[in-house]
Amino acid sequence: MILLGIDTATEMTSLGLCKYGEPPWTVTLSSPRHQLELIGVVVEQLFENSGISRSQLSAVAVDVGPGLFTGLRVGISFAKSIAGALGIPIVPVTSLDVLAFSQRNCPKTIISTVDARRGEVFYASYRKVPGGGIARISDYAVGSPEAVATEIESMTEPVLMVGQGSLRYKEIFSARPQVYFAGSAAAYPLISMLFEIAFPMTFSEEFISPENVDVVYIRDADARVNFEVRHALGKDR
Amino acid sequence: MAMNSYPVASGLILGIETSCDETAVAVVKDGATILSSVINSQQVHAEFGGVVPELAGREHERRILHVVKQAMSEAGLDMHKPKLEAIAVTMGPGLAGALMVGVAAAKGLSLAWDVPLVGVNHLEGHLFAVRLEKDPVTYPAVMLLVSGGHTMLVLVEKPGRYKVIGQSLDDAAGEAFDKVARFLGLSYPGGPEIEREAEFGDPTAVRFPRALRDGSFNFSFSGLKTAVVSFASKHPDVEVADIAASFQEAVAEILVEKTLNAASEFGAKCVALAGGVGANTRLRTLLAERGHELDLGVCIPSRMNCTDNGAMIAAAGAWRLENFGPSELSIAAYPSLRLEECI
Ligand SMILES: [Zn+2]
Repeated sequence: MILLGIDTATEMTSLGLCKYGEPPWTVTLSSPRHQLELIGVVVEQLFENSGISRSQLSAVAVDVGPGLFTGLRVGISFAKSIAGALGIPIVPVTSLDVLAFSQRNCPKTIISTVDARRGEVFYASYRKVPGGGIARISDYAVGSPEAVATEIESMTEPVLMVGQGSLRYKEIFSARPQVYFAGSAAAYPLISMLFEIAFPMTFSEEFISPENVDVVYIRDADARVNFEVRHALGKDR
Repeated sequence: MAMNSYPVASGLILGIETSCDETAVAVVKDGATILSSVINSQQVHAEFGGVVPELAGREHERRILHVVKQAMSEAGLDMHKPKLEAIAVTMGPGLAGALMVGVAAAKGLSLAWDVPLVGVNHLEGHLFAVRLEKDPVTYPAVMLLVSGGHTMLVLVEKPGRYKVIGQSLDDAAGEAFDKVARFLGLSYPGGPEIEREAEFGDPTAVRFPRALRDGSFNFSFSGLKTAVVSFASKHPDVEVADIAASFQEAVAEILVEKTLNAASEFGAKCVALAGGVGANTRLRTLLAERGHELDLGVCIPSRMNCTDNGAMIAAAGAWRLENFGPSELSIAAYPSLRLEECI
């Protein structure tokens, strides 16, 4: 079984090809503004270097968010069209799950974060489960770092925060004594970690047809938010 | 001179267009014969009275693969093993987030099918819409490109050689329709609404100013818009239908007058219409009447080929592929791409 993996949810673009049980072929680039230019060229290179052909793919694994909207749409539109053209399914994985999974051996509660810009973070909580792996114990949410810190304060146990969202607002979170940080090596979702989640999902057929993949936005489009606020205030547009 | 004297790729081209609020995909043969053309117009913007870029990006992403599949199946092509010569895609101008969805999708298809990619300028696409029609275009031609985002007069010496000889100094014609419609209490988009209303009105009821009769080929619609607003506020007794008809008449007249003046100044053999506002019946009729009076060729695409669509992108792509070869897989989205940059 061979997967193509695409992650454009953050400013780190991570792409790869992986045959089950073998080390993946990956390219990870810090390129917030050049995802669209790079994505096709890099994937073509991966096919060439690995000697894997398109017809060998079983599915396309893709990070569906939450994250930066434009980047997500580039990655997901690209993934959908490859999968649609090849007649293979998509394995959708969330950015927060990938980040949390990288800390799966930690016995503490894991809080996974992605920088949502505009003074907010996307976040979700996880706990280790018997037999390996982790389980999400909260909804995916978006909020200010202060609000997340207040939530953490109400927990008594120690927590491990992972992801760029926790590092960007480290000062706010580290004011809580029970908070630990996973550090910068785990700041962004990486495709090798996404593959680890995606393979078991592919084996158990937890995939969907490409046209039914939805971006996990969590946050409403600003236009809609502003429009609703204006209406609530009774102002004319 | 027949249109086929300009060589185009002879195979099947898939055209993808996502520059604004239409998710559109088509399959075109010989750069001229439409095998399928699917246009999915986004409805989400109506409540905002204009296109909201973030929502446009979301809708394109949601719809793109559905629309591709539908266009492929209507053209009788196998989605998994199509016999395509190229995939043409709009790379600009337009909304950045909207363009990026189309380009990303085109790249995915290009890689999966191993079919070359051709990046197309959206404006050049509009100019190629006339090639999808039975009326052959003769060059040099003066083309009036009118839409929600653009109002320009283009001298086309031949495909690929464009000179923008005039454009709007303020609102695009489509924007003027939207703004006046909103003021008159009509819904969005304004063009079709004004047209519907105008059907029951008297176009000679109010004589609105025909702006910029200065011998230039530029347009200005802000004065006309202000005149309509001020007239309607002062005369609440005058029927909306009469105001709409009079406004539409003013827009159509100024557009047609300048197009024909340009044709005579530049010795054009043909005038042609392109862009979403080109769907307006009064504009179409007036351009045809006056153009024929002057013994000019008049090429007016069907309404479907005036609004943003994938077929025009495929038509332009067929010509580009034949003359310049495929694009690099590293093309991006270019939101402010100019028509002259085609050359
Ligand atoms: Zn257009």
